[in-house]
Amino acid sequence: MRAYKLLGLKRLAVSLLLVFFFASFGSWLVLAKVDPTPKKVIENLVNQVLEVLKDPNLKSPDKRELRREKLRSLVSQIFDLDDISRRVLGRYIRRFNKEQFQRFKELFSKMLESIYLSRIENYSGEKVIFEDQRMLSPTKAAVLTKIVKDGQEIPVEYRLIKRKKDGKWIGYDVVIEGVSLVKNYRSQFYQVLKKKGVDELLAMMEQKVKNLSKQADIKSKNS
Amino acid sequence: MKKQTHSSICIVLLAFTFFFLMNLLYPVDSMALQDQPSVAGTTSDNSDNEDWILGEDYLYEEAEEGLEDISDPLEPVNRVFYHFNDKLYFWFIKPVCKGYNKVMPETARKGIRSFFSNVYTPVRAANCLLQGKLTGFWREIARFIINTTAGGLGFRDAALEDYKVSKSTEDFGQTLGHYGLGFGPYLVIPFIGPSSLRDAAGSVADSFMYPPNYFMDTWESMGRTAFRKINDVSLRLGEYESFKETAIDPYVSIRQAYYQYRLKQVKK
Repeated sequence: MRAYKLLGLKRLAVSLLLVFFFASFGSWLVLAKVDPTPKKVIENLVNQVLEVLKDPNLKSPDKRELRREKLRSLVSQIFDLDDISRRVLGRYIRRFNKEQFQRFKELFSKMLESIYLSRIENYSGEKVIFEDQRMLSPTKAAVLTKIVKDGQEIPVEYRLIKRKKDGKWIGYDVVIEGVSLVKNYRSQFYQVLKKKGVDELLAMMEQKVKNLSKQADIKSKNS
Repeated sequence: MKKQTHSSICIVLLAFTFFFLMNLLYPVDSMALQDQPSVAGTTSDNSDNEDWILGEDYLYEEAEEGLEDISDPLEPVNRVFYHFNDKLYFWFIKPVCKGYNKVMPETARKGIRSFFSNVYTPVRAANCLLQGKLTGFWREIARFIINTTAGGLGFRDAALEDYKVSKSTEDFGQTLGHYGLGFGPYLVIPFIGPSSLRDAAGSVADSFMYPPNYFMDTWESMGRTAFRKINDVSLRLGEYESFKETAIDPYVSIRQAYYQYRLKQVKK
């Protein structure tokens, strides 16, 4: 009788153990799929970008626009233009009306694109080292990477925030050699907005975009 | 038999702790689920009113919003010197560097850069000591010994290449910052570039720790500094241009970059 009871208890223990084991392991598996770490997000992005850049089928000049489109869609998966524009404008966003903000976003994205996308396109076999992520707060993380170019290391840190809507990690800043992109643009925009105004800022940005596309034309003619 | 019951209780307890720990490690999804309805409630489609101002995730983080910048009461004067330095670069330094690059191969220029950097060791080592960074101090001493011997009088950075001992870039401006002194007003110094009252005073103090200044007269020192500058810039041509390209107001952009860069150096 007692032995039988004990057997039952043992069986219960074993089955409980199995249930717990599978329950926790299963939830771990599901979570690992749903919630990639910030480091994984950046690693994925950088590797996909490098793949596009290394792709020999996309290297010819007539494929240039296609390649740009691919890079653009990759980057915009992680970096949300709307969110970054708000961060860059900070409290001065209150001086914009809806149309002006729309225009600002357009110009800002053109500016960033013609500056940074062309730099990415000049890729020539640099290596990227991924270092560990650092949590800045429960919803903010920094992923440190290093770009190795002729033996010199350029530290590039990606800052990510966990989006409240769906818990996805999205980028909100890039810090190159200790200089934050968002803070740098913010200081420039603040100064113009404080001393002049929204329309002047938009005019300045328009001018900048024009100059950049002119330079790009000269460069593509030379090469 | 008692032993067996004990062991089964142990197993059950173990299972519980395992489960508990697993959920502690990955508590995220329950939190995310709790968050979702409230967010969905606040961002309903009434985008006609002022709600567009509030981004979904950018909900006015006070600390980030404040403009972190260096004080710049001398901006009009600084802007004049900024333009002076800018023209100096494009009209004088850059052409000179391009000519210099033609006569000097890159390896030689890198060697010269390492040589000057090795001679500068006493300044870095002293500032490590002043900030109580003993590891940094011994690294500098080790680097000096390795580079002066194995590195052929410092022309090769053998310490970094062979032993992975990197430089600790400390200066007196950082030492002052380490003990809590702020930047003071931002300064753009002709021929030298962005600085601040604290860092400019720091570099004057540093020049007293630099041995060659004691056996070279003023003109010789200036010539040496100019040569070092040309040699350094010749290895970094194009960097200034590409930095300037990103800015709508390069003066402010450089000021902000200087501020952030120095802030980070002091923190290290």
